[in-house]
Amino acid sequence: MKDCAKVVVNQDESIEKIFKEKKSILLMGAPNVGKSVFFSKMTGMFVTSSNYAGTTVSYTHGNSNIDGNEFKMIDVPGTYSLSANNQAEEIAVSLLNMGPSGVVFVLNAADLEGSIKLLLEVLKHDIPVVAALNLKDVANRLGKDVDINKLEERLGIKVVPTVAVREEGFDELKQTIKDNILNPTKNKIIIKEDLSSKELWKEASDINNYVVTYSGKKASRLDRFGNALVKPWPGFLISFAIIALSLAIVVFAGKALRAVILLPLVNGIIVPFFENLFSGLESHKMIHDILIGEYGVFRISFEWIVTLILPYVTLFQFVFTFLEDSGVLPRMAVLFDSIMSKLGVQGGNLISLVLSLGCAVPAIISTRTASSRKERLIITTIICFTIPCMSQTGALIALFGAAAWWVPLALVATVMLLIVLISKITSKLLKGHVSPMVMEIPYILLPDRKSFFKKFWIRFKQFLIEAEGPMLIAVVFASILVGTNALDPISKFLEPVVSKWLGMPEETTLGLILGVIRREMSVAPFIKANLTDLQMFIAGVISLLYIPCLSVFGILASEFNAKVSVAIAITTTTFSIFIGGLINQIARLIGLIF
Amino acid sequence: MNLYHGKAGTNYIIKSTPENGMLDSIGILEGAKIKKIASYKMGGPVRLALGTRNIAIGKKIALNVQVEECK
Repeated sequence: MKDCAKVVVNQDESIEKIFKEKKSILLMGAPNVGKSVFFSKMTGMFVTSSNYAGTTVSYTHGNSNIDGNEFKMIDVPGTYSLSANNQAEEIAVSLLNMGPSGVVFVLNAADLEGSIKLLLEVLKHDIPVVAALNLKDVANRLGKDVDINKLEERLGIKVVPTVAVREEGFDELKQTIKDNILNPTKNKIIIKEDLSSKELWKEASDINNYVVTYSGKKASRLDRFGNALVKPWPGFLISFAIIALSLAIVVFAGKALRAVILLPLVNGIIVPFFENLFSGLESHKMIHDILIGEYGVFRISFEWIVTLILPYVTLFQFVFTFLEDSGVLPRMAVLFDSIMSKLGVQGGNLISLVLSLGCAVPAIISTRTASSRKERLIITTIICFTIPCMSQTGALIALFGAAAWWVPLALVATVMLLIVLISKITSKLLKGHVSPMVMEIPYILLPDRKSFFKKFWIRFKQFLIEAEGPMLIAVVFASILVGTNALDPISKFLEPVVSKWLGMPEETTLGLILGVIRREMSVAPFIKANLTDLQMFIAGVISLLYIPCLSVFGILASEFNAKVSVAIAITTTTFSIFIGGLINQIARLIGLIF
Repeated sequence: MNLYHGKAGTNYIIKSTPENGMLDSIGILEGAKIKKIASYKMGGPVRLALGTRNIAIGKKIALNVQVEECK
């Protein structure tokens, strides 16, 4: 499940080619000002936009066209400055230096000073710039009013007011882009002299005071909620309530969806239909087995994908899309900073960890905003080792449906313990330093209903497109392995490890093989296996710690290098078999045979 | 006086900051006027208002940000 549609994570070579081939316009601005919404409105492509700094940590490009004038639009990662403090800023600077045709700069009306400071840095680059003044609605809520004419006068560029999520101001913006960047009638560029960051802030503050008027509005109910959430009391309480509620929605609504709609549909209608369809093939046992046997393609693809994975993934995306749009997560990051910094990282990384509950791939990409390679590696290792992705969690919830109450609790406790252990070990082993938190806390927003549902739908579709392929490959692979009895020699070979060391039934072999392709596939084979409680717990631990999926290897290799990718693969596999077996041996030793 | 031990609800002017690119980028630099909102216990961050923005700064950095009360 990659996070957004058609997102191309580019290498610098290809982007240079794009710059040569076509007019190209950079979309820039501070984090969290709604750039990604502009991008999707301008190009028709969808980039996930959320309410915290650094959603666009890689860059994305798409084709756009204004009255027949074609150009490439490049969504630059949001940054606070252009001084290359982290990878996101480095990318922004290098894009500017490649000589784009122009920049569309998104100003944040609610925090004009910070926006202007960054804009002044961009204006130094001698490139035509058009500004959009966004988030006027939030500014008004905070009792601020911005005088556009005065702003244009001081900046020397065109400024168009917009409310991106409601598509207000886009026609005017397009016209302005056409007149000032694509077919510039006059080349009016104000080149600012080289100012130090202190001077830049002073200039930005002067402009801000000149153009903004305050009406001294009282804090809205939403702002009061935001303030309460970021205080230890009642913030922790609200945080836990939000986490518990989110989990409850995913788990219970998922179970209900499964029991009421999906299981009857699959077991009552779809699978019997295929059983009938293939009943003529019973004389060809092998083909029959591959198609509709116990592990037949047309049985497990529905049982595993539709009833196991889909309900939980869908609900997680629903809940998470709401959470990430609301500004709740950065407040939690502030609250949990003290705990996180004891683990050797800073609170802001909590957002990457929460993101990884959905899928490790966007979570690992999001660590690009980390201040050092060490910090990135610690978080990436935690994600790869311990945090289950949503598909996997869905499979685990289904597996634990029959388990004793302590099994899921013990697994959650194991995850917590492992997070502590792994962050301690990696921060000891890795060289370098981790900078403490420096983070802007965004405004609390009630997600706009229209864009919420759009985002949710696109993510859902994206999951189907990106995950379905590998899942089907895994399913077909499983069907063939079992149907042709090719699994037997492998099971025999692994028997000492699986039954002696892990104390697990032979389905484990299939799980270990399929788990390489996708994470939830390491759990799925157990669901038919009638495990004891202890075995379920061990199955959970093995699957958690086991190798992350193929997409994760890909992203590890491209974000870090092949060495990191291989190291993670080897250590996770070894660790998973070792810890799983250790739990089994200890449990047996103390006579905990359930 | 350092920022971490400063009084909550007080307006300060920043006197000096440690070497940290992110502080500069976000606008915490010498001469900036801020209002301290709170220090979090157990090694938690400091929360402050800079203009209308809310910013959180880790304890280790906040201890090295020198401030002076705004009269």
